[in-house]
Amino acid sequence: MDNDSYLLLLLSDGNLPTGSFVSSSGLESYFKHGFPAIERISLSDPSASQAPASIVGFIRDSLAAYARLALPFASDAHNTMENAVEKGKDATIAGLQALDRHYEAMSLNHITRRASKAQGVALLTLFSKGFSRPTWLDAFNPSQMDAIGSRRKEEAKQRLSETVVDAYKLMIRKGEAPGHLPICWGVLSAALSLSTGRSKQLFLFLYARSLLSAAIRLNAIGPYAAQQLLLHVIRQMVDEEASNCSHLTSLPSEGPPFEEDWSRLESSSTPATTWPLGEILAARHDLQHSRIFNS
Amino acid sequence: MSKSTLVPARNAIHGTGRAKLVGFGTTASFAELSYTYPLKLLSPRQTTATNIERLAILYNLSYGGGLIGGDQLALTLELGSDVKLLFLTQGSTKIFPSRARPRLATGRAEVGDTRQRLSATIGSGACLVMLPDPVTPFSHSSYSQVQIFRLAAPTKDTAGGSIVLLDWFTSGRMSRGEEWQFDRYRSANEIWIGNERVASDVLLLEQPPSSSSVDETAKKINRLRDSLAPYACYATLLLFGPATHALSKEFAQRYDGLSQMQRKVPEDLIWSYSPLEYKTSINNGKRNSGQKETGVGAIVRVAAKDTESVRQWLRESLRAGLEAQIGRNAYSKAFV
Repeated sequence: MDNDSYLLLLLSDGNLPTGSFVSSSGLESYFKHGFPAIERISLSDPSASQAPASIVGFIRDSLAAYARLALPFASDAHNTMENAVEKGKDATIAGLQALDRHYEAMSLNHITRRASKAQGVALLTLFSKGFSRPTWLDAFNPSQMDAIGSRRKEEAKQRLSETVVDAYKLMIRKGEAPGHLPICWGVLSAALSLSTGRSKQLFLFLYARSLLSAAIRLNAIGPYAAQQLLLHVIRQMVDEEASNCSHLTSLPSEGPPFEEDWSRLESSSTPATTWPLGEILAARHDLQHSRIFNS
Repeated sequence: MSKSTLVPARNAIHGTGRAKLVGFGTTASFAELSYTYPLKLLSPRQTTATNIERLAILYNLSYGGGLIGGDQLALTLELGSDVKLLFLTQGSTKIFPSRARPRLATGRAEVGDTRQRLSATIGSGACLVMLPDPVTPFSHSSYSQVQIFRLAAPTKDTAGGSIVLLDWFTSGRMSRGEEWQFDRYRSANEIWIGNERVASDVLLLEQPPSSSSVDETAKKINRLRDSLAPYACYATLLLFGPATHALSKEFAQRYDGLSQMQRKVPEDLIWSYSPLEYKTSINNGKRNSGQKETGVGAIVRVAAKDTESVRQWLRESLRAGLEAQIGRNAYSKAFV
């Protein structure tokens, strides 16, 4: 099995301790505020009951917004991490930190920030505890001497990734970097040598799936119906958003950030917020009299 | 269904403006105030006696007739230390469609876009209060606005700069049943404190790309409305700097007192408040001290079914906090 396929199996495991099960990304608040009552004309299907239409509507808007804002940061972080061998540890960490702080400045919502940071750190912990190469393995398995050259190179890359992740975790703990989910996802996927394309698709798929899991826990949809949506509806959405947003980047083309660089902010390839209503509902999460999720 | 829109019969223009406000004694005056058509800046003399020192009001009157596709306006504001500026418009900013329709599919800023740029520097202890009327993007218009605010960082001896920034828009000419029919609306606000970017608020609303088939058009328009319904007016308020702390605190207290029960249908007006923590380098005279200080700004978002409700909500919510800053007389000129 090739690396990408095997990693997809590993990373799409719903039991991975990524902390996403406590997050509904605003869905709980959306229900609490009575939004399923709002008819969605563009999704109207006389045969469908209200619940799936409102859930599909929420997922479509929420996923589109997440793809537009977070995906470019995930792919920039992935690329930064992929270049770690050439650029070195310090430059890589500085690059990640800049992305992380930029993302923080763009995600202007305390609930979303809180959830994103919790899940980001969980991903890095998952990497160092769950995906790092056990040291005993080298002594235990010295047989494959034939491929020793390429294996050494792989091991060096793996060790560098582990060093970067450990150093970055320390920075997060010291409050020097926020540790947001998209940045940590990019770090993780690149450290595992997942390709950029797959990393982006999986990032969006996992987001959409976690919304569906939240919908199940909120009793808004059954587990079978959720699987149905995942296969027949969410798939196109993920593909569409991955391709719509694939050209986006948070990095300025060039030039110092200090000059009034209008093109940087006018460029349509910059990340953006596209669902202001979603922002309001997500930010109102903690106001709910009773709630089961953290966001 | 298609209604013809009367577009002002003129060619697209590039206009620029500059205003520099400095304090002297108890007054603030414009050391520079210049503009080229169609930008027009006007500073009314304050007739009523006011106990607010170093305050000026500036109206941006350029938008009276509305902006058309291809118009480009660039405005530079400079606030010296310890001055206050209330920045207002007169009436909503109407965005007409460009007569040569921009291509939808590329999504890039086209020649036909209406563009506005604002660059503002805010000195130590100074405060810029921007309370414009909302932007109203007409059917098939394409609008892009970029505003960059550079606030002086606090030092050991001086306070930092402050900003109260209101940015809001409506779904279109609701009276004509024109809702969410613009091609593209984009508004970017970036706030820097010293050399730290503390907020980068980029809002982008556009009709989804994809097939250009005519049958799809109705569906596409519905999609933008679907995701923003039942509201037709959205406002964002950004608060940073020491002059905004009391106002932020007031919002926080009010917000924390809310408790949301299960609703059957959404409320007519909804709002949210988020404190925004940031870190800035302390400039304590020593170079590269590397010290970071945590500060807190805030963002308030409001949405309602009609513009008037948002205006009224803003007027009442900001009253106490802003009257303390700019006085009752100046504040009465906002949200009229």
